[in-house]
Amino acid sequence: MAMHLVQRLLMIVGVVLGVVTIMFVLSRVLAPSPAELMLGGRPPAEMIAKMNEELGLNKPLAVQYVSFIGNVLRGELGNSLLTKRPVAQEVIERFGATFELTTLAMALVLLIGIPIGIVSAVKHNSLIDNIVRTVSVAGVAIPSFILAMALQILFYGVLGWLPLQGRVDTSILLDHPIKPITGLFLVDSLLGGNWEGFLSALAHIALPLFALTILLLATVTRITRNMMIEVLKEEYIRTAFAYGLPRATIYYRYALKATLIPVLTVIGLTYGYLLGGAVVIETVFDWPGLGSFVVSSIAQNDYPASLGATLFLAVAYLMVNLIVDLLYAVVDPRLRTA
Amino acid sequence: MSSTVLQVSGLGVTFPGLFRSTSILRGIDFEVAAGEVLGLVGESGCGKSMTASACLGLVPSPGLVTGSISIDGQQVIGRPESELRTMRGSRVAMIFQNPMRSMNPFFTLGRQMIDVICCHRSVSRLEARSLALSDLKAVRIPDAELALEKYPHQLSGGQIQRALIALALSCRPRLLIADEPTTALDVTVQAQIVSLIRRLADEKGLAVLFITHDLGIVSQLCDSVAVMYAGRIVEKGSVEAVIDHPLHPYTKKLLGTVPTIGRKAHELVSIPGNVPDPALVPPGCAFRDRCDQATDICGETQPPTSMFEQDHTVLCHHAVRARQITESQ
Repeated sequence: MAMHLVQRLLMIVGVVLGVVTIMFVLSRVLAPSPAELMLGGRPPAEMIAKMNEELGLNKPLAVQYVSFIGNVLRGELGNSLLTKRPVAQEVIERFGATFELTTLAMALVLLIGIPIGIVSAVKHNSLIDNIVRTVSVAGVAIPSFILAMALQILFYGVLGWLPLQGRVDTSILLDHPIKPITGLFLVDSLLGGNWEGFLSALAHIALPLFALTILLLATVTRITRNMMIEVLKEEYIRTAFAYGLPRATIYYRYALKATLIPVLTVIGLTYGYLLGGAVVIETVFDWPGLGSFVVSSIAQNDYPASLGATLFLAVAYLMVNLIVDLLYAVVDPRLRTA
Repeated sequence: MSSTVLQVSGLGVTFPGLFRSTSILRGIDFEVAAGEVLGLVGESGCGKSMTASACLGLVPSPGLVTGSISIDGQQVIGRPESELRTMRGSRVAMIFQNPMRSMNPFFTLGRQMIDVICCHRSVSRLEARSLALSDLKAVRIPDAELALEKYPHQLSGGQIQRALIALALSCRPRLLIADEPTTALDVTVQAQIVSLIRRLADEKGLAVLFITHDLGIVSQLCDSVAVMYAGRIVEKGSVEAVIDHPLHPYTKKLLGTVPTIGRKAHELVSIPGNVPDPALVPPGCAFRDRCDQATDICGETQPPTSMFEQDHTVLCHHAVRARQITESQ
């Protein structure tokens, strides 16, 4: 087990190094003259040379590569060309917003999706199973922006219950600023006893959260249902029935563990992917997350920002996968001794 | 002499289809007494496992079960699921062909045994643990205490089959149904499992329905034997009667296929043809296409049951003639 962990960690280091290398190459290929980009406009040649000197861009590529890796290791990802702020700081702020949204969505999906999937599998081909199947096909099929805008029209436009977009009211920022502790507004406002801030953050997250949950719910429910149906055909399930174990024990204990492994895989992959930002949802709801940050930095040639975000996402993705790998061993005893 | 534990009479299982229904079992009759081991023999697809499932009330839907199955005086067919569940494990238990796949890989052996014990007996989990331990010792699992904490993948196939027998017997059922429990095991381990089952029948008066296609095991282990073909029992009686003086052509051929040491591979005998598809069983005797003694009558009417001494029954038009030939030899 410890061996397995060490192997996985070494692999992660390898992958991160690969990502950094690709980033380095791209940053030199995509932006052959970072100095020119940073200065903006059409700067005179001597200014470019001076800038290159300052940035060490006149040194051999190998030297630049080493110092680039050194910078990355120290968390120095350069300044955004647009905001002139350090990329690392910007990415972490943005990540807080994305993390808050996707983690809550994931939690809701697990709490709702897995039980629905199980019930649907146990009552295979019943009315409830057919309803679940139909709804989840629809859930997969609806384009996310349509769903997002429909929610906005209904809850903002027609009913006027919830705010249109953003993470918190502007008035809150002025009157009851949320003190940043974790970067998650819901948590920070509660920790700071900022009730107004909490309610505003809750009202703002409601719609994007709802949209994201609906979109993910369909997938998780379907996978849970299909896996459970497969597991229920296993011989050890038949044995459990033959020994007269209660149905509830068989379904919710004996079969559930085997079902959870593939479900865990899908959830891990989806979650890792979403940490990169649910781009469409974030854009429609003007949610200041990582997804919209990546999109705008690419669109505006802000290469330090997009590269920094990419590195961050790669690491986050790998970490989620590591956690999933470790969870496999918790669920499956066969992986523990290996 | 001893009390009947399992009594099956006129058992039929039919699966309704879109245009016609398919009969998997027809008119199955047999009984197993306490301490008796009945071997149920036949090729794959002849209905052995379906008979076992029916005894547990586990015929998959939409199967239609007719006739009567009584275990310890309690009728299985038509009994509500909740009552059947109580019967399973406590009155009748089953062990399966593939021990490695019959145990849940995600839970320890102890946990699975304790779950079963707790669901049939009103004991605490701690008491159940000590019961499980003594059951494991009874089937002679080495290091029983350690085995309780092990996951199935940490045990060998033979150990798991022993553990499954322990599990099956943990709630003191009167009847054990063993569905080819030795097929997936090494020959030496097979012999151990067979002698374990024999010992349990002799010492505890357990009635055993032993499903197998291995006539060698039948002659070692069983008291009586029933030969199945295409959903019917074609011959049954004591092991001495059926194995030593088979009267049904199918039983004879089946006995002829048992390989013996000293016979070379090219001398191995098989029965040409296959068991007919249950949906397409022809009228008359189902075996006639593969039978070298078949005459016109075999294609016309279902053979009647011929009874001989010691409850030796045969389902063949030519049984009486076969009997005369055997006697004259």
